[in-house]
Amino acid sequence: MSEPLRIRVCPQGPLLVHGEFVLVDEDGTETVPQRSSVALCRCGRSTIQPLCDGNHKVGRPPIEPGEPLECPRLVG
Amino acid sequence: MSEVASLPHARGAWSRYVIEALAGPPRDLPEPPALPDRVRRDEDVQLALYVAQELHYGGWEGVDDDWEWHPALAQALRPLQDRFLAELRESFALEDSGEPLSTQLFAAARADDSPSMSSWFQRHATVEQAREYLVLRSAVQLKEADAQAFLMPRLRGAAKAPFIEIMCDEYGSGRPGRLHSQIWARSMAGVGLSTDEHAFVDQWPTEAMAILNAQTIFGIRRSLLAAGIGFYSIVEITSSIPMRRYQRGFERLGFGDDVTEYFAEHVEADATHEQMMALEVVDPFGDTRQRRADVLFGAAVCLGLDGDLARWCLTRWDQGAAA
Repeated sequence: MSEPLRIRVCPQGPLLVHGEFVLVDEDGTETVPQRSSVALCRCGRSTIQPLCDGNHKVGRPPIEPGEPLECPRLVG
Repeated sequence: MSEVASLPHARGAWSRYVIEALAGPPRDLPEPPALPDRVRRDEDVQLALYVAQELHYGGWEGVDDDWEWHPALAQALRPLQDRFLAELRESFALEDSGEPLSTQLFAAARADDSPSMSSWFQRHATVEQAREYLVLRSAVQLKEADAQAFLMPRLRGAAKAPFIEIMCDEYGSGRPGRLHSQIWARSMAGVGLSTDEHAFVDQWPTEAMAILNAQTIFGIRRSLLAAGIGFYSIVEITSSIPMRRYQRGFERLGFGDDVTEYFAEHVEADATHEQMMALEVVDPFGDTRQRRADVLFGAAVCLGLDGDLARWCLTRWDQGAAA
């Protein structure tokens, strides 16, 4: 069985996805990102949506520090 | 005295010493010149370091590769490198606050008050200044990631795999023509500049050479591994936003994809790399007090030397002069 996709929540930053996935954009176009790790925008300020471009670092921090994961339906 | 056409022109006693050494076969050398007190802004010393340290990269046409680790050259260079390191330690520092290193590195980049070359470039650079920017940065970018490649075999533990993943990306992940250094070369070609690594050595100011020289020394000494890691994390952390500004500056000047591709690629790549460096390399790597201190030192050096180049450049551009 292959390794599941890993997604790291970067503090006050993007979602960092490790592993292969299919990205479906708002038009329905499918691409497979070529990079082995991909940062996806979490703050909405990126100019290259849905990819991160570092804009979360400019100005007032857009993302509040997260609470520890406590969702009972997720397998820990 | 034999002359090697590929070697640059000397700028003083030290660069003359190294150039004359390399122009002949590996051999014992005469006494080197006196060691200056201050070398960070000494263009003669920085050129000497650059010329000698090129042997760790692509070398020089007509120069014997066996000079690279030759004892006579190493003996002459070591005090020079040590003096440079000592001056860097005096000049640049970041105190360890005890927070995660990743937090401190992002904060340090944010707090840095060096003038922004990229902000100025986006709005004001002329075509001539855009070409000069490419020339200035070519000292590092035509061999992009090579200085960091030295760090790979020195790493152990959890930091190694993610660091190497970043390196793979820098080198195009096995796809021909996708090395970041090659994409940079296409930008230079696109504005009519030679892509020869040594085409512009005679034009580089001290500040442009010092940035590469520091990275090289961090790479070739195990004792400076943590400094190398810290230096490179700041390279990544301070990249994406300036890269977008350079992209827009080049677009404003009417340049096409062949020139702007490098910058567009780096906006995206470095937004990913900075997180990987900070969270998956530096945080696991910085597991002792000494390592943490050295990571922060390397970070401070990167911010500081980039600031030196920015000040040098903007002083000239703002006055309408050629850089």
